Amino acid sequence: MKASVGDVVLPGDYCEEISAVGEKAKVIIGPGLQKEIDHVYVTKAGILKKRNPNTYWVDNYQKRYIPARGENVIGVVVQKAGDIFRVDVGSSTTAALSYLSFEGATKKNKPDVQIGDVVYAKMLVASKDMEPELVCVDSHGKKGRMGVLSDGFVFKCSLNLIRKILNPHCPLLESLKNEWPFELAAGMNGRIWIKANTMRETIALGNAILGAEYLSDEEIKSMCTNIATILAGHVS
Amino acid sequence: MAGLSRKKLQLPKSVLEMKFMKRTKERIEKELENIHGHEGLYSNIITNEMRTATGNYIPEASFIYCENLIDGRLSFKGMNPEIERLMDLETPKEEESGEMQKDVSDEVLVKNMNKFKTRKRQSLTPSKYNVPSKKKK
Amino acid sequence: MGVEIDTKEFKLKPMKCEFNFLSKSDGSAILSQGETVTLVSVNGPLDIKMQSQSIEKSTLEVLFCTKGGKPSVADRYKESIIRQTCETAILGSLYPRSGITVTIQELEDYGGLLSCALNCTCLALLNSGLAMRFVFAAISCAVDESGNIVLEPTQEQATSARALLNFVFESRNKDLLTGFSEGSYSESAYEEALERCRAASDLVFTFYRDIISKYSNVI
Repeated sequence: MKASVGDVVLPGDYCEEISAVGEKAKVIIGPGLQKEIDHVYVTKAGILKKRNPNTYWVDNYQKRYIPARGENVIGVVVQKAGDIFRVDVGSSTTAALSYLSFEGATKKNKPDVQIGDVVYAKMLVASKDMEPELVCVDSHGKKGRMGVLSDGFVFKCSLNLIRKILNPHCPLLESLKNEWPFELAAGMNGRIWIKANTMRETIALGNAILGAEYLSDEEIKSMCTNIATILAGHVS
Repeated sequence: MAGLSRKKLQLPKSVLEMKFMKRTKERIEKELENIHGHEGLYSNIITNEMRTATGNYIPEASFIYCENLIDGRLSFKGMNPEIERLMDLETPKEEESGEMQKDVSDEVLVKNMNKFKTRKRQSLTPSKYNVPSKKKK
Repeated sequence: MGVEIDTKEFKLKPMKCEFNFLSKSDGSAILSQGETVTLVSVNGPLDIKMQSQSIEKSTLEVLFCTKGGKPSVADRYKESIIRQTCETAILGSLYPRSGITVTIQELEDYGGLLSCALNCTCLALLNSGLAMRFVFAAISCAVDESGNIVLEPTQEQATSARALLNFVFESRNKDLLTGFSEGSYSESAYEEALERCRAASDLVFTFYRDIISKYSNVI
């Protein structure tokens, strides 16, 4: 079946608009789309979306993480094997994280990472035929925002929720950021790590994030105000 | 263009003639032969189209670029000053560029441009006139 | 032989579906077609044993659990039909060396269990976000004593029927993906049943689209 941007699509649908644009200019086909000989076909069920310039993708529901290059993820170190750590990121295989890909790490100066530690790292290699590889440094050798996440609390959620809260237009973080001090790391693999000063604040933050999954922007705002007032009432 | 750059890389003949450069000379000759040999071998099969052809479809596996997502590591109200410093480094840049644009306001620009145009019409040598200098910070 | 078919004259059993019925699996759906109810859970891509890994595509495993819980040969037959159908639908080459597990639980059987299980599997796969070539729809029909074709027969109709036919169609060209039958029937009856089911598959595809659009609006 033919589909156009904004439509609800099912696998097997094709989009003529993309093929037409692809004749003349470069087109970026994101997740859920696949180029075959005659058309660009949809492979996942969801809504076909477009962003300029010429970027198309399908916004679908998913819980299982498939590694993709350049994504920041939260993983748990499960094994130390020689000079790499094996990190569970929720995909079908564990990802490799070299101990040299930490800021300031050398052969002699190994980073202090233990089994069970939670790390926030970037996918450097993510090919379907290879073991995914993580790094905790950027191209300048700086750790940036990556590294081991100490303390805090980790929970899982759908991949959509991560994308929802990390969207620049999402009001969730905007509404929460002035309420109480907290820190969070959201991995594209459907894991969120949060940290606040008290247990009560941590739980409130976790509930706010999980509660936002099926709410509209307006509802998110009112939910955040609600949580904040409840929290303030109990603390003082 | 390609020929020029290739020539640049080449060593002068006089140097290659020297005794100790014999091996290098042989190697260069072999390389040249290889290049010409290959070109000759496939010239009737490889079309110009094949040389320049590129796919217009770029697959992208991540939603980050599609949906323009922000970095997932955040800190608020002084929970982790290090992260907040990094967040600050990224955000004010936009504000600065916003100020830069306002350096010369739209109205001033329109006024100046109008002046400039009228002058241009009056004489055909507008370069003589100094365009009103932009406001300094 | 071509049979003129108007979709409006068909009525399938009322379908009801719920996504994410199970919170822990990667994708799950519960579907009722009339009185028949199945629950399907999809997990994957998963890490599997070395010996069952394939370097070319994902290994698909289908488990069919009956209400009684006792495994039988008939269930193995259902499993293999569902596995073969899913294998063509899933783009397994995108997930090499991994496994995909589909678990089907029979909840109520009032006729048309297999087609219900197939449709439910398709919905669960859509929910799991696995890349697929197309969606598929299964339609069952019966040829009764007088040679008439009954779409989606009830339990009584099925037991008294001369033959039972099941067809699975894909969404791209409405091509036949899987076909299986029992009993005896004439060639013309088969042709007619095939065309009728092909036309009726549109209703199932429309149903899929409705469900997905309802679901997508919430996210």
